[in-house]
Amino acid sequence: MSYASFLMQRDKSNAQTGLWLAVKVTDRNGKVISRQRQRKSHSFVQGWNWAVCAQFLGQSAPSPALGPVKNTAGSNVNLRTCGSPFRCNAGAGVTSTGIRVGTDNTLVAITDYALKAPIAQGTGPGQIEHQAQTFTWIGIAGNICSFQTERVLVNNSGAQITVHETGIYMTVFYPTAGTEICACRDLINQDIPDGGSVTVTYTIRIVA
Amino acid sequence: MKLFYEVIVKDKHGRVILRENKESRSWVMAYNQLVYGGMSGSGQSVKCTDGVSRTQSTTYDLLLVARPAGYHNRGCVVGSGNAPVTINDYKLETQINHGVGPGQLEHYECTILYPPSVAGSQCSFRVKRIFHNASGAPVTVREIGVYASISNNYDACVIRDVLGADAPVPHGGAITVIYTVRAIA
Repeated sequence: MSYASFLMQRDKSNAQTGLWLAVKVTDRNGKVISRQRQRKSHSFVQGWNWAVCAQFLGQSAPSPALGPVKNTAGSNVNLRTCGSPFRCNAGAGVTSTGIRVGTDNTLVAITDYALKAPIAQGTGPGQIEHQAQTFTWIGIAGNICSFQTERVLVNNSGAQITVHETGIYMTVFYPTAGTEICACRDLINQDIPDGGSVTVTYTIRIVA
Repeated sequence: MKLFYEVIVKDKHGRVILRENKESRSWVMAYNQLVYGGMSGSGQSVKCTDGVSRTQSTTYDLLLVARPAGYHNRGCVVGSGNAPVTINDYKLETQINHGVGPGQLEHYECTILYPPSVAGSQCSFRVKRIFHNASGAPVTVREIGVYASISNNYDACVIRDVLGADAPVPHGGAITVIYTVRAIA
């Protein structure tokens, strides 16, 4: 069975429109030591809806202003139609966009604009190495259409890191640098051993 | 993310003669393709409302819905078909065109009601359009949807719904379609 066929079969058992999340932790030898099978994501947060709204509106200078909304740095920004809408195809080491993980376990709120305690890129104490974000178009299975985006984060910090939260950061105001918003946030609870990794997979699914 | 619609039909005196509020049946395939293309930066081949597949933009002009009056190629749209919604739908089954001729409806501006508002654990914004019947005879609406841009020149159907009941719009009356896009934490 191909990987796409496997994903399609699994999709049929989760027939709800929305965002889904799976998490996998491996040790330094690549052995899977923990797995959170695909479950409904807690949620998109308001940033996602702002981004969709900005595209629907399609104006380079909305009047009245489309904002303010907080970017991932906590600053208020006004949005407009974006030159790279929803973009989160982060390369290795990039933390401004893409899937992030953090150490805080505060409950998810619609107003969340960032992870509460995002883990920085690196190999120092408490840091994690961000691999490139990848995308898989799953396609249509029955009345379901879905795709996945995934990121592997490797712990070479020299000690265990406990990850409590994850989410997706994406661009909403290109070409203005530094304007990214948090599209979704979820709580997970995974210990990542030194040398190990955590793989976070989000699935976006629509069901007719 | 949830999607809801409200349809209101008024007669020529402005009296409400029909109202329907429901959770939308569905986004359809093109929506997910356009979001995928935006997120990944890898343009997808998207079937447009004219039935031709084209590569989407991954930069500007992606998912535009707002549209001035007089255009039926983008924004909220209505039709007379009632074929069940499928994930592959790329247009309304039988779209009602803009105009004052037989079977036509005047398309007013399609507006985005923003900014998104937060209430409790929800964040919502709305898309609204009014269609006025000056055709001289009733026009029955059975399906609604949203067409959005895939690039500068082309559009795809991203939402389609079949109404729970026929919505006959009398001459001189109007039908208002409002979609609510909602994220719920």
